[in-house]
Amino acid sequence: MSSDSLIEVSGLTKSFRIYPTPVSRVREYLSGGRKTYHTEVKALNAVSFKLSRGETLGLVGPNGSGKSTLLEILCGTTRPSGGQVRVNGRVSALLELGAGFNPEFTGRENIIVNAIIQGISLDAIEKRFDAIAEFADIGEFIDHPVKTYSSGMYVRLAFAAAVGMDPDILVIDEALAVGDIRFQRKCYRYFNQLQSKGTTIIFVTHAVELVRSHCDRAILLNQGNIESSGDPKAVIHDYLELMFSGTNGATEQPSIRELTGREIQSESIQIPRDNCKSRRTYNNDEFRWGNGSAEIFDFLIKSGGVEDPLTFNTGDEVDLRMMVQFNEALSSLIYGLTIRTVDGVMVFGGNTRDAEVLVKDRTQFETADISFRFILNLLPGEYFLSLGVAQDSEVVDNLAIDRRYDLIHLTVIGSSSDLGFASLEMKITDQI
Amino acid sequence: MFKYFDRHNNLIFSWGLVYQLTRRNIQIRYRGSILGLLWSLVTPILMLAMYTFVFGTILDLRWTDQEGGNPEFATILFSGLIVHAYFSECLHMSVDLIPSNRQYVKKVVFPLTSLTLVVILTAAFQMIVSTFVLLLYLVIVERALVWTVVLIPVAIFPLMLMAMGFSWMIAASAVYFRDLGQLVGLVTLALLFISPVFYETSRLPDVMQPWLYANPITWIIESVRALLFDGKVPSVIEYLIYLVAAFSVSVAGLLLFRKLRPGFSDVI
Repeated sequence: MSSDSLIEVSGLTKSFRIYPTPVSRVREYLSGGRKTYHTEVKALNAVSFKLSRGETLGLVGPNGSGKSTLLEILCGTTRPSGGQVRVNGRVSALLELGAGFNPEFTGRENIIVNAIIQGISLDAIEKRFDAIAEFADIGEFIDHPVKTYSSGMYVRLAFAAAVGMDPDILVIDEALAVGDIRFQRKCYRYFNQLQSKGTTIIFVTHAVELVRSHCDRAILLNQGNIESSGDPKAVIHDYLELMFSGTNGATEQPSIRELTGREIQSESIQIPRDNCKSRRTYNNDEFRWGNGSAEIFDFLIKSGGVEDPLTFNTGDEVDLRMMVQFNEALSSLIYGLTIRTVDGVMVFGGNTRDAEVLVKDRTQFETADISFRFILNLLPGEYFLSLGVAQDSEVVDNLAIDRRYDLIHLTVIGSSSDLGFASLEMKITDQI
Repeated sequence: MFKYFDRHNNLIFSWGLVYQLTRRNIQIRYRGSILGLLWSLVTPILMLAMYTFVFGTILDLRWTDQEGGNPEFATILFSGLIVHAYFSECLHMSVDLIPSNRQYVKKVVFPLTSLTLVVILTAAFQMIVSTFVLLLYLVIVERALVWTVVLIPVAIFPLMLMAMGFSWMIAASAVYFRDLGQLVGLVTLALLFISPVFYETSRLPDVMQPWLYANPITWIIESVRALLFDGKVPSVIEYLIYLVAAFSVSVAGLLLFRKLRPGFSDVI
């Protein structure tokens, strides 16, 4: 192997034995292999890759794809069932929340114990302690038991402790998402420093934007196999494809034109099937409510000349079409759209009533095709778009007819490194 | 600092780690209370005072039927209780040892075998303080301290070895058999009554006496009492037999622990 590669994984396989009860594991062992009680589940299947000093690898994949298992094997907490793993150098890990902290111990005590586990001498810990405490920035809480920490403080300490051990390899498993934005920025900024020092970083995230901006390389895991690897951009694309293509293949996307064909226009009482679900940006975890007198049965996004794209770029012109089927004759209709962050903060919202847009009254079995056009001045990140049909009646203001919260998952990518959500395209110059 | 690494440079054992964890464990027990660490001193003093008052003053109990000898029931009882409390605490702490340290099972490469050492040392702290209280009582109140007390640590050592072996066994098995928690409670209670804590071995029928020695604390209690009160040194042969037995138990415990260790992370 080359002297440069810190991690070399070849043909790595891990299967778990699932036992019906803890006791049957012991029984099987005591029987000396004559009886088996387990069923085998493959978590990793012949995974191979190499990582050199100073490289940053992003690991993406759906839940249960084997990411965490791979990290655990690299850290040595789980043993592989087959294949070779070579790790040269000290691994510091931030696996899930906690990273081996004893909840009863104070932050200070946990740092000391962690360092000893890593094989660092007490003297060396004392020397580094102040730097670690400063980075964690949790004030006097450093001398309080860790169980009293908020999850944000916890992860701050965990990250500070992990990087403070001066590892050759830093492994981070989705944990950073818990910290507030400022601390996250601090951590990711610190990544650059670590990279230049030659630290190899592996991190798992669902925030694909981070992979694009911080990683030299990415690997997409799916059901224990490496689905694609290499350039982060390409891997992210494959990942989103995998996540949002759903059961209907991405190739057979019916466009709205076909769907609003004659049969729906006709007087037949047939209700069109909900085609939203076959859209690639459809979010499975949408929240839908309303009285059902009309239904949003499809949407189609056109952006940058592409129909139903998986990702958007900051500043894209977006044309969003919403198809509504009316089950009753309705008047005083309101059509609206909101965009929220992952945390539920509204970034933008607008509707036809407040914008004083004239909308038609509808008769039964009629379909409406509402077009929303806007410029996507959003910074890179994940957003959710909600669509809604409502009605102003004499009794109820803005009565929900069909509201589909977080119906569409918007993944905005771009090169901007600005903070926040709005893209103001700021230019800063030094004038003197 | 004594350390031992395996061929993957994973820490197997380190005194530094055991020392830190033991210290924190003892501190945590009293953290937040007003008296703090003083409790470990106050508790045995109060207990000894109660025993002296109840068994000595009120009941006026004698340890032996014969006249003469050491008449103080309370101190003899107390010495037996110290040994039993130590052993039973080790067993109790072992039951929940792995689940309560789950953060060391999955997320870091941690020498879990060291945790048992932490258990027997944490429990030893209380034993040492209690013994110290008893010695003070013997000096101040009874004015009857014999030189053989300096050998008590030697007599206790195989007990710690024995406790470590059982601790490994219980800690590893309890991960899979949650019933052990209930069982250990009963067993330690039985160990208390089937031992010379409350009565002299000679009070039992002759046929039953050898069985008493199946209890790992019986021989230790008798030796400690001999060293404390009678100034007699226990038989070296018996000591060596016990030492070998304790060593075998701890090796068996370690082997069982190592065998069951790989499954911990799947069960917890």
